[in-house]
Amino acid sequence: MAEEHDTMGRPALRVLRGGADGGPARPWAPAPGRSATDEALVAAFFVGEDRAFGDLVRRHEKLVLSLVRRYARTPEDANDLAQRTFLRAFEAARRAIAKGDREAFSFRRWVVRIALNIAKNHLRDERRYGRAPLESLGVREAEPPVAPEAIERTQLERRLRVAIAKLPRRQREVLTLRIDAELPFAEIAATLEISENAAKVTFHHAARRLRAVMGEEGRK
Amino acid sequence: MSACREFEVMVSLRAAGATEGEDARLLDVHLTRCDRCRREALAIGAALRLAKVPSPSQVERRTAADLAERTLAAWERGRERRSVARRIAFTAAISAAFVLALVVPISLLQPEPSPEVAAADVVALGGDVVTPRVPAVAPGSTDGWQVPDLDVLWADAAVVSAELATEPGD
Repeated sequence: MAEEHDTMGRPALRVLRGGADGGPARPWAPAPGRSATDEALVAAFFVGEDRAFGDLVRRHEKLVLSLVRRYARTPEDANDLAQRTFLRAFEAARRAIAKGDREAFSFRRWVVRIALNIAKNHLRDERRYGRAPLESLGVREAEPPVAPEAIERTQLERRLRVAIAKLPRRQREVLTLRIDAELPFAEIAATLEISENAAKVTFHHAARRLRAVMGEEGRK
Repeated sequence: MSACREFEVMVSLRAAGATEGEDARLLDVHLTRCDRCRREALAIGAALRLAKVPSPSQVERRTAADLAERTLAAWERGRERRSVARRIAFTAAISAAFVLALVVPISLLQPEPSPEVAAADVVALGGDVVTPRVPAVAPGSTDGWQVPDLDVLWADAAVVSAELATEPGD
């Protein structure tokens, strides 16, 4: 080891990140078998660890994409919506840290609410500017079905998609958080800041509306 | 046709796989006896399955593969833009402070009006303007500051002149 003593002859001290053995590649990572919290990853990113950013995005990207792809026309659209969601969530985290507001810090909850909001605004813009009919929203397989039953099913899916887009906002949020993101009702309630009972009743009302669409199809 | 009122919410939750414990048991018992609720549960379940967005395709998965890297790059670009905006705002603030620092002292350095000019503001009673004159210098003035003669000053006041006019010899 070079320079073990300084110019005064005292032992030179060096701080080794992660300890004498060099430490883990990701110093914010906890012990094996346990994952870092979202807050730890955010804090690591804001002190310069870019890899923490990637870890956090990868942790939540499936959740975010499940919420936004319903309103996107193409995979690129969905990616763009997801990217905007994460950028806003990190901006909110940066401001919370700057204010020292650690009590209100919940990255996952922010990411979900921002995704719902971005999706709502995207839906509003699609309707307002008439870029595409509501039936065409929602990423799906590139090849259209050919069998009659499959065509009929596709048409029904399209009508249900439109029905969801036209639901009152709260019903749409609860429904998509349940069937797309597959979140438990307790988490849905906490995210939307409503009671769990209110979340369940809201879901029931949304489900009944979809059931009514099925009923109309059955009578045709 | 809807489910029995006391079970209708639970029927929807069951279709979403969200019933548990005692509620789930009670509902299952009811469904074995109630055709209407059973049909409703099946219909709602079918609607929810069709309404759910299908699983991501291969194309979607490939497109989303580098979402983290692209989002980080977008964040870096945004941070650079914020940094430039802050520098511009800081420079503008410094410039404004510099300009103020120049203008304010200049306005404060305006000279005080001379005593002769101040005396011109006095207007005598009756509309006569008193011609200002340099106050009489009292003997023994020192350091260039002239002590005014109070008798001369009172004599200039029109009110005093009016009173003196009644005295004999005026």
